[in-house]
Amino acid sequence: MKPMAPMKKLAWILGATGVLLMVVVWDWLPTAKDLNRLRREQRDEALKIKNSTLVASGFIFPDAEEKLLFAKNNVLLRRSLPHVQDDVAWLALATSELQGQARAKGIANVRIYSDEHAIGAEFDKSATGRPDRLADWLLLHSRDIRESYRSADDLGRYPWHGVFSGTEFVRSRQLASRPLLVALAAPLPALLGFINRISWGGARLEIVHVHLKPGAVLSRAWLICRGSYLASQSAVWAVKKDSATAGENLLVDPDSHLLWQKVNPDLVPPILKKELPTAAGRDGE
Amino acid sequence: MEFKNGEDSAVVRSKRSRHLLRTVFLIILAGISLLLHIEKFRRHKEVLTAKEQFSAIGRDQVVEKIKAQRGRFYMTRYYLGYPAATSYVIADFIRRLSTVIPPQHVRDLQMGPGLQNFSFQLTVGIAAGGTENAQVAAARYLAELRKFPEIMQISLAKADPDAGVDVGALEYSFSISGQAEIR
Repeated sequence: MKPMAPMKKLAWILGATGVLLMVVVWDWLPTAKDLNRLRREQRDEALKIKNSTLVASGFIFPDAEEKLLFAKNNVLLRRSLPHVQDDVAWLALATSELQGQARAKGIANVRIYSDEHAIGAEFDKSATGRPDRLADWLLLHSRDIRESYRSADDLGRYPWHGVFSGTEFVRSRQLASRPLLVALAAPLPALLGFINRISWGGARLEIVHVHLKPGAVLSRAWLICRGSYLASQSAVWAVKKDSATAGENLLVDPDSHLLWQKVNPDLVPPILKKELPTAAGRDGE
Repeated sequence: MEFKNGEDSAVVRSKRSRHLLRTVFLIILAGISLLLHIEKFRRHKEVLTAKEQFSAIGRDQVVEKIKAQRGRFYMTRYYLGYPAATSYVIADFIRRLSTVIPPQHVRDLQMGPGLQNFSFQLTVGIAAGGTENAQVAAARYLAELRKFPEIMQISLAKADPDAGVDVGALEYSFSISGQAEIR
């Protein structure tokens, strides 16, 4: 057998090494990486299964006490909503409550608007010849006000769908939600007191947007608020149960271990209505 | 002639053995690749099975219904407390802000509460003698605001000229924006 020429041998070795390197780089290394990833995934899944099996074996079915908590919660939810005849009745309720809150804080200059299309025109109307700094300021912000109002008026963005989705309302009452614009000028402490109390009434107004302009004597603010209510007659602002939600929504992770145990009311403690701390730093009651 | 034949057959044998060597080499490479891919396929199937097993745990209808009830319980509790919590947090934030930044320096404040956090944008104007002093004040205000426990994120920027803020030429104006927790 004729021995291979040294150059040929070298070429053969180089060629074989080249092929080997190509296979290693293009196939073996990526496959080895995938194998490592899959091994990790497999280990994680096994751990998750082990944990979940442990938790599942400890799934606690509701007892009488927990069922009572569910029932009480549903009653509280229904009671939290003002029951009114229609949109107009709710508006009257919210307006009278806001005016009452303003009177309690000694605020004379509070204005409430509920019609998006009339917002700019109504600012103009409120200027009665005398200088009206609040109306001037509102006019300056009318575009922002309209945008913010529109956003609160979009029922597709209603954030409480998850809360009301399983609730049945008696006698064909409809869930509705409507925005309001509240504008006021007052000394800052009174204005803050008013903002704090804005949700305290039966209309349970939620603040959606706040715009504040502090002043030496009077501070000015406009707020977009939203209220939910049950209307016995057809409501223009009715929340459709199946309407798609584009905005932020309250969610509970369905895989949370919390849901495997009895509910713990202390996890979401009730919010107590309280006055803002006084200048001395104490909570006023 | 015999010698030549012998030489030829040696060349042929050598060629054959090289060919065989090359084939064996390639077969070994392909074999290793094949084994690796078989192992990868097997593991992938095992991972899929494990994932299916995991999602099957606790997907029982009764269990799901109870879990949904519990989820709704927590959401309802949050909803019931939300309006009062938000109005208090907003009013208290402005109150504490006015102790840190004198109200005469605050040109404009906007707050947009979400379900769990609220965003804020504050425009501050300082009619200081020199820009440097005003910038020091801006840094001080920012540092004070950072101490608010509910603030998760805060940043300082030059005021937006389109914000409609009525500032004089001698005023240094800047905006502070951020996100804070509602509870």
